[in-house]
Amino acid sequence: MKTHLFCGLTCAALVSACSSYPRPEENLANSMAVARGASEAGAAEVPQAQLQLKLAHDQIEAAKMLMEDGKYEEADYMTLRAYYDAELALALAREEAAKRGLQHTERVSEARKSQLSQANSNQE
Amino acid sequence: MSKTSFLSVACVLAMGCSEAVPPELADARQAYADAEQGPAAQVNPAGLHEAAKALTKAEATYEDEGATFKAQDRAYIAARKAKIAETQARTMQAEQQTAKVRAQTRAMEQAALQQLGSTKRDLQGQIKSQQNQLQSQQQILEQERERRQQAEKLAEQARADLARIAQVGETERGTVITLPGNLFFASGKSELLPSAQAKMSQVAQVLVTTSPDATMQVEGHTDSQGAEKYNQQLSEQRAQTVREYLVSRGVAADRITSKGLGESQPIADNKSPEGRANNRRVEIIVQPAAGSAGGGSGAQQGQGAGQGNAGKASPGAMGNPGMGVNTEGNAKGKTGSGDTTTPTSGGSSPRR
Repeated sequence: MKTHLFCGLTCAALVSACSSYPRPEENLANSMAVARGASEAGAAEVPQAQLQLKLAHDQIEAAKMLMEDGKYEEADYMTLRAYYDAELALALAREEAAKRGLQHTERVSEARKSQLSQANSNQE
Repeated sequence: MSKTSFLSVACVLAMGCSEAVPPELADARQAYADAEQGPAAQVNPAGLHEAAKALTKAEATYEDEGATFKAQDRAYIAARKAKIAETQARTMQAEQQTAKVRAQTRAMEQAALQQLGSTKRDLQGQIKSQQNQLQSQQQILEQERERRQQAEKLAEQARADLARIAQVGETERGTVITLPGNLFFASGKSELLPSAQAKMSQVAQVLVTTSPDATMQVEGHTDSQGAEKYNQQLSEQRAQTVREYLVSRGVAADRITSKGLGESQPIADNKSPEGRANNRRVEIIVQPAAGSAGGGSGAQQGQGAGQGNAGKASPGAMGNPGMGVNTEGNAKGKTGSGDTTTPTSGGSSPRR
């Protein structure tokens, strides 16, 4: 009797905690994937991106813990945060790459320009 | 409910407090405002729109639920989306700029290449025309060489021809052609012997063709037999006869003179018959024309006006290949291109 009551109470508690919210496995996986992507894009070398990436990782861990506690809805929102933190980290890493690319191209262009003008003046 | 949401509701009702905006929402609004002002509006409208949607959703959630953690999350995400949109816009700008710079570099290189191409074509053209020039110069040189060879041959010929008819010698006065009196005149006469006509004609021919611009003096001489005055007259008449004949054959009249020297200049001993025979002569002294040079060694020195150069006129007027060049060159109608021979005119046509 007591056990049943206990079980019932537990179940009720469990049910209220679980509700019908699904376990956010996919969202977690997605955010982990984006975080990996950001890391591979060199986010660790870009200060701002690194910060965002750390945030993402922290939140991913927090989400995992929430999931273990059965707090799926909270975990889900946490993974979403992590996802966009990682996305931002990735965007920042890509921006850095684009900036470096531009600098490189400009350097090459300058060098080429002076090379060509040298050649021109040599002709005269 | 959370304290913040209660406060925000209260504040909204009170219509006056400004610190009621939950921090996450404030962040999200700021982030969106920043993104909107940046390049995202132009370059990344899609991303910006996503951020706008997220902000609207967050605002709505705050309105509906207050500052629930759902609302906070949505605001957080909205802020991130705004920043992502902004960052992506800057990335796109950098990439566009990179493409632009690359295109500029390419255009520069193209221009340089074209320039190089046209320079190359110009140079090739120059080379071609220089080659052509060189070729034509070489041709001219070759023709000159041939001409000169021809002239020399002719001069040689002339010399040989003349040598068969008369004696030819070189002195400081010029080439001296000695016509033996016995061959050309009957004794005591000043008319040309008929048999001498042909020879005289040949002499004239050679003179006219090889030295058309030459200056000549015809001088008659006799031996010492007979009266001096008589000899003087005879020698003068014979000289005249020769002169007239030469003029009639094309020698320029103003370039030939005649005089008699009688017995005053013997070249042999008058005591012997041979000596006397040798003294009876008519001499034609030929000086090449002014400026005429040609192959002769002394030919290129001291060329001045004809008579004046008598003393220093180069020997070998007859053997002077230059003479041949004159005529030959003129006969072909070419004027001296760098040729050192006389720029004679009228070729070998007779002059009166």
